[in-house]
Amino acid sequence: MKRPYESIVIFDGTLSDDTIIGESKKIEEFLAKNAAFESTAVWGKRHMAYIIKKKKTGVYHLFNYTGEGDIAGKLDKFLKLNEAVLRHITVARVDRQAKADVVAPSSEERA
Amino acid sequence: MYKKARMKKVCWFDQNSIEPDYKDQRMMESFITERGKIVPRRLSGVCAKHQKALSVAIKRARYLAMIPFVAENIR
Repeated sequence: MKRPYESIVIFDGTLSDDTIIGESKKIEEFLAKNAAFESTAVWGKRHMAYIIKKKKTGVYHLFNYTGEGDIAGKLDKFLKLNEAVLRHITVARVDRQAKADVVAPSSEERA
Repeated sequence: MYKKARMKKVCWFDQNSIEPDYKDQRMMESFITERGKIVPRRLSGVCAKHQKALSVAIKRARYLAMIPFVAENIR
């Protein structure tokens, strides 16, 4: 049974933009081959909350696709070998209508 | 002695009819303490259903280094 999935991949922030775009393309190609690739969202370079593999910044990319249940394992194997990827996560996607106007309360507001 | 009258807390997720999302950094930050711990629902007023989903979301956000496991000044 096919299900929608999303994967977030954190690339090494010290790499050049071209390298990261190239690596992202490779993942897109892999997903197009093994599943029904839909879209990529680039979140850009972010300061990470803690150091991963001696790197302080990471470039976040979100991949949306639909595939069989074994795609998560395949993608995991594929990304593990990639030196440019600091971390990745695959989650079964739940498509909901986004509510952009609602902003979470601050901890003082809630108390 | 009289008990202090307290206003009933309403679940923030039910109120706004949204679900916890690990990709929303601001939402995740608003439900952790200064130390980086998950705020208990006795304080936040979040319902049991959403607290469960929220704790999963916070743990995903932590893994993706969007929010800290432990605050920097305590580490």
